[in-house]
Amino acid sequence: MRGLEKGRPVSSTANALTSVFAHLTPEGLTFSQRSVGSGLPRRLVASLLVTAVLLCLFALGEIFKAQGLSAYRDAVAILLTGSAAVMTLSAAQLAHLNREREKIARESVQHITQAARCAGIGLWGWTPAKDRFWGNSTFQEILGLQKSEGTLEDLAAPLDPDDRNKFSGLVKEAAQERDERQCECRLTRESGSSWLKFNISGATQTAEDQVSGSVMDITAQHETQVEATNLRHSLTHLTRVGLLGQLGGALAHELKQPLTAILSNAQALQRMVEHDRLDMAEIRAVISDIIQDDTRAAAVIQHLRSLLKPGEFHSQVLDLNDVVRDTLELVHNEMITRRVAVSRATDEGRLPVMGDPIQLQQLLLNLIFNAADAMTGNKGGMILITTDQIEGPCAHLAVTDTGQGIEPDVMDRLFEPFISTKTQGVGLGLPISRAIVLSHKGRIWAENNPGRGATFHVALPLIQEKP
Amino acid sequence: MIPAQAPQIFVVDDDPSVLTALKRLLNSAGFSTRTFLSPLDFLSAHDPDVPGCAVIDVGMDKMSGIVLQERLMLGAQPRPIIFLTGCDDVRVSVQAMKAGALDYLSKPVSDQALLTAVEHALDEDRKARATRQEVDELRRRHETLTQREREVMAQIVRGRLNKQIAFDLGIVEKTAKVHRGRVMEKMQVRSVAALVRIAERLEQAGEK
Repeated sequence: MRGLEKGRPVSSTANALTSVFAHLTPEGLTFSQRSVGSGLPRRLVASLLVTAVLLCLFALGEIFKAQGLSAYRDAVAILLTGSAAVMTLSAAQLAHLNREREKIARESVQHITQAARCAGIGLWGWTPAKDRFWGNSTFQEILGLQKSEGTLEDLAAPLDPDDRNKFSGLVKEAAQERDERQCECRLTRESGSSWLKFNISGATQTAEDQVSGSVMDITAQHETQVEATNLRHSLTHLTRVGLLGQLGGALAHELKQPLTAILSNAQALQRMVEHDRLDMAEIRAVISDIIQDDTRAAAVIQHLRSLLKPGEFHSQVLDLNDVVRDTLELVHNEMITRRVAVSRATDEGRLPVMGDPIQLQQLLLNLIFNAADAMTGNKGGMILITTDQIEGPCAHLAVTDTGQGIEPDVMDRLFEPFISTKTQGVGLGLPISRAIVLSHKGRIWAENNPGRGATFHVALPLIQEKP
Repeated sequence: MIPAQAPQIFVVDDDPSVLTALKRLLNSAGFSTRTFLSPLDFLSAHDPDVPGCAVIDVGMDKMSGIVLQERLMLGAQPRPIIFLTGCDDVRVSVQAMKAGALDYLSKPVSDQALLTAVEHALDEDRKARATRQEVDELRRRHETLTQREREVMAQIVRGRLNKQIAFDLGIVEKTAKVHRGRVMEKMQVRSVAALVRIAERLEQAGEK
């Protein structure tokens, strides 16, 4: 995760550099030089000269009127000499000014290039009209390119085949839309594969329709991200296994019911045979029931297996009400043992959401156990689980308990890891719940009830079902 | 006298397939069985006069087996209960046994264990019913006594002589002797020792 946070400022630097460099490409640079010469100082000098000439003409007229032709000639000669001198001086001054500006510009190019190199950011540009790209040395290093110029196809060539078209497409799009684009591409070399992040900017175009951009090697960042995702998966799985531990007795009960039915049926059958009381219709019914209960036991085991399996995220269309029903079946006996009455008031219609059924069950299990744990002190209690539709449109799930409520100082940090008010709690239940909700693009929040106890809310985006 | 009825096994489990299987097993062993999916149905249909025992699942939805047991034990004629449980929760079993459960069997239960428990329970129920009938009979006899005769009986069982009884109650000894004769006759006993036993049993039953 640290890698991810570090990554953000670097990439924003890259963005800023990308826009600065729109002016600092070879074409851009000549344009900058021109603009130095044709800028404000030159216009100022011109207007000063015009004013001077007008003043001189006025003065000459006055001299001619007052002192006659010879004085006028002298004055003109003096003026001409003076003007020549002034003009020479101005020209020299201008040339110096230009040189200074060029130097500053060149230095800032050097500074920025150096900064980009230090940050490991490659800079590049592309001229659509000529289909020509250029790139600095860092850029060449990152992509493993031998030459610093070529066509867009040459630029994309080192990328993995799947990513080449994606990249060229985005570059062209950025040029056309005069907008910015970003993409992450894979690049495979003998030494291994790496991830590159491209910033593409068509927003600051020049006369030649320049697209400029930066590129960074984000392999390390990417690996950290993948590692973090894997860790989160493992943690989610482990806490789920922990939850199942809490459910142990109840799950055993789920299995024992069909096993009880099977055993009693089989032993009844055995007695019928021993006593020669062979009612074929009854025997058929018993055998059919045995088979049915066996299937039921297998389904319980399958359910358990899926909860225990460290599965990946499998998104599918689900009815939130089904998730509530399935989860309640699972906790049913545990809650009876804890003397907690669980009731449910679910929305009558369907509440279709995209989600992973196992993770959503885990989320609900977490919330139910949390609620039940909050009521251990006062000898049983009540949990109400409701579902309905709220604005968004979202499917809304609320788990209300009659427990001790949430302490004000814990409220703010409720979903942070290792915050637990239980003596045996690790404090991972709610952070994991939050992670599950976020990965479903949903929201989770909690509040204390006006009376006693607390309510946890979850909102998940509803999806449109095809009729 | 209530006519002797065939004992019934009342099975209560909110799982239909378990319920059917248990009924089959008990029927195959020759027991007359009635099944109930809900504890409330069982309570409303319950006739304490019918001899027999109950086989009840502990973990039921609407009312746990323990609560059902409490309700059943409230009546004058408690019914022997065998609990079946799917989870081995020690707390619940202790609670059940304390409240007077006869047996506590883990699911899946073998036919041997269940049938033995059921036979034991029926036996207990038979004995309890016989005892209750006897006590009822004694109570009926005791109720035929007059107030004065009851006072005399209380003195007799404390080992007092006619002379002492007459003095205490302010009557003549002869009258006391007549009362004693009536008490022995109405209570259908021949010895003071037998009368003492009856008095003890009535006292015990009264305490319950």
